[in-house]
Amino acid sequence: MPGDLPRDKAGQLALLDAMVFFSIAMLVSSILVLQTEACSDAAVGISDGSPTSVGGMLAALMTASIGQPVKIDLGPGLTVLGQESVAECLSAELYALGSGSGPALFAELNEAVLGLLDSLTLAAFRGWLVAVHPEGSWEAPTLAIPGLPLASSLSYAASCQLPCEDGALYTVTLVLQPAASSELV
Amino acid sequence: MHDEEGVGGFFEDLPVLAFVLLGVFVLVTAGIVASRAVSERREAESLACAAESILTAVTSHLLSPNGVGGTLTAAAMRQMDLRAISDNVSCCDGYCVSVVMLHPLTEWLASATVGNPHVAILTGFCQRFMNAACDGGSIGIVEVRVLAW
Repeated sequence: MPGDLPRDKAGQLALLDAMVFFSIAMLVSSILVLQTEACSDAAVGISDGSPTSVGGMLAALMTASIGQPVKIDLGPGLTVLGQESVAECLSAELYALGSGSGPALFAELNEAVLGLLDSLTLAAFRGWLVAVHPEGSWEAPTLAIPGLPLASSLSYAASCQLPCEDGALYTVTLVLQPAASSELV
Repeated sequence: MHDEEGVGGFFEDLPVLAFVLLGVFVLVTAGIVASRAVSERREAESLACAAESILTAVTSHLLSPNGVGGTLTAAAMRQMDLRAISDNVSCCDGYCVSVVMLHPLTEWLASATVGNPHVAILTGFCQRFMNAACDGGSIGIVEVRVLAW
């Protein structure tokens, strides 16, 4: 007689075994696919923000000329002709800020530096330039253009040392973060 | 429907078969998806290495005494033969290398493309920033970009 095989009274053993097998297969497959996606996400690098690229960007930025005349009203007056390097301009600004000058005097210079930084950064990223005194802290920098970077889980940064006239060695950090979706055009 | 001995008969095996086949299908599909993702990642890493090797060749040529010579200038970069430099180290199907001035002006200085980028499925990208002397004595910023496929 077809199906005349020894079974228990319930007759459900084979079906339950198959369901357990199916559940385990689903679990293993889910773990496999999730692990593959996690590894792929970790491996995808955004080239513009790779550490090597940010370091090169910072070095090129500091060495480049400011590119435009900037007026700084520091008592006797200080005019940046445009061929001075960004490092020289920032060094003078940090020395003046450390001596008590107000940050409003350097608004035009900071705007020029920000414009230069924006020209180097891809549209999908935003850049910040922060200068910290050797005895200062990241939360209270001497200079932050345009401000302190936002707290983000994804940031790329590079830093360099910038000497000032008073002998202080400031740490200048360039931070790149993905631009907020609302800022993307 | 089971008889008194609890024997389900042939029709109990059908859902069992369905569950087993479905489970095997899910496992095989997940394995194929995972292997394809690993393969694509390896190819992407290979293309990134290829782009970096081309970038290194171009920037080394720029910085070498026999290259554009002495101080990097935008004028000398405009006359570069990027294809001749890149073909020696190219190990991919195609590539596009560009030298672009970003500061003080935005200007395309030199470019070379090999292959058809429209058929590329995976690409590798690499870039480097350099300084170059511009007209008027100022120091500008030049970006060397390489896209490989």
